[in-house]
Amino acid sequence: MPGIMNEDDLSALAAEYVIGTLDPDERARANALLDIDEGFRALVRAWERRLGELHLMVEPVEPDEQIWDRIRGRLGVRAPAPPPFAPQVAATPTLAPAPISAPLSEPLSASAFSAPIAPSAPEPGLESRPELVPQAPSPLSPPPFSLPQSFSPPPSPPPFPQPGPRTPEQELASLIAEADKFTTQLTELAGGPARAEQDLAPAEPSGEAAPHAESLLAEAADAIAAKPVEPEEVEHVEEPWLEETAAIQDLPPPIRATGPRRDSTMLLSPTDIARITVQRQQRRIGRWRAAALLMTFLVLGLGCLIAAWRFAPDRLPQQLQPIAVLGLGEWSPSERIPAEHGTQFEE
Amino acid sequence: MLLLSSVDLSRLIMATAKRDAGAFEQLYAGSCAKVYGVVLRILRRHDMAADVMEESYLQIWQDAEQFNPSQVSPMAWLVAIARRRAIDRARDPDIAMNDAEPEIADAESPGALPRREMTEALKRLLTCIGRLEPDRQRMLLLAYYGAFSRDQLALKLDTPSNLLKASLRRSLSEIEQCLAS
Repeated sequence: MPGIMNEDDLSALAAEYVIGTLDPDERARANALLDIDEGFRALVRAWERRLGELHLMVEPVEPDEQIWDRIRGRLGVRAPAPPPFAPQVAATPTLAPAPISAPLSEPLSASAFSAPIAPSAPEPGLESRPELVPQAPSPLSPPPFSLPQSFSPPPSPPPFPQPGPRTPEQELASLIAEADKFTTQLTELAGGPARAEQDLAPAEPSGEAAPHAESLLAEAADAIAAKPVEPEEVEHVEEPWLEETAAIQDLPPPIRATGPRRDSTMLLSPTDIARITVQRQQRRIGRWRAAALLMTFLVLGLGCLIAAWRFAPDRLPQQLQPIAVLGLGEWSPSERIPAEHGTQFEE
Repeated sequence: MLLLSSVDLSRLIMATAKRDAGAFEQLYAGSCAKVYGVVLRILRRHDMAADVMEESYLQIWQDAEQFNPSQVSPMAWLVAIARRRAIDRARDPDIAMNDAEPEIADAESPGALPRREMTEALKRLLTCIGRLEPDRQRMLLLAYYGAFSRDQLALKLDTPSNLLKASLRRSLSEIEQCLAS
């Protein structure tokens, strides 16, 4: 990435950021840019709008119910804003897939079976809208692309040759199926099996693709059904992974790591803080009061002594006579030193 | 599985922006399966996907006021937040994402979506993607749904990384123009 990027570069960076193909370094830099550059944020948002609807093609999967408990537990306890994309505490490398252990695979397989049937109710409000008012920008319909009629629902046939008219959804489904198959088979290729070769050839855009998708789904279903009794070679791969997973699970999850600290801060609720402050002030006031009382007694005592010297000196015991108290040892009022002869003080 | 309409989801996000915890809970219940499907597809591990779900929904709780229903559909907004975090997690250098995890990818392969469930925006997007050459269509969709890095993608497609980068950027730029025309 050059040091200075023009608008096109930035837009391309945003597009790749959204689609997810940036390598870790580039992505880290893009994240940093997101934090400081409003223009780049806008570009990213625009790309998220453009590509965002692709999510509709992804099957819903029911997550573990504990996730909500964890989220609810952290609501309101959260510090203002965690670093948006701070790297998580390191985990050990992941080697193999999850679904070998029963608790993990269970939600997955359940959803994989139910999803093809179930996912449909999502947006009754939107279902009919495209057909009825394709141009009307509704506040809730997806982004206003301000497209002319050329993008009305029945698409113009794509440039590449095709046996028959295919709807975009069939296209995409087959493409995705192919992409997935491709992924899988390349993975297999990396692992050794020979089957992959035929699939390295670019898939022809033919009418076969749609059945392809269905057979792939069926395959997937079979694969899930067969999963508990995986062949040994798979288990070899997975054993180290299982150990590592166990290790990972022993670690406190990164999120929890910061939990207790926040909780303990939260224990100092405003009332607690007020109580502690008041206690501290009361202690301070108590000390002042004691000191003031002591000083008062001291003053009173001295006052009495001075009054006694002034009005009843002969009633005072010897120890409290001014001579003793003030340390005027040899001085005594009776032993008056005669003034020198001839001075004005001479008596 | 509870799925809500866009209208409901938008209403719930806006209530969440006003710190309505009940609305937030409904929002989670009505959207988590879809978001989790996307996240799991990228991370292909339930434990990591669960962490990302937790972070994502906390961010949704905090950022709900930034949602603008006139710009983006609520589900696309929610998914975008979770997708960002999922990809960040997948690119975390401390977590080596290994490709030898085909099971979840298989199980989650997206099926054909009935036409009536397609939004206008999705139809437009598919039309534009359909105009790319087949190889580039596959590259793009593989990149989006699997969230592979450029190097991983180059390996999978047996293409030099720099060629792939150019091809990818050209495709994205064509889609941008197609959507804007």
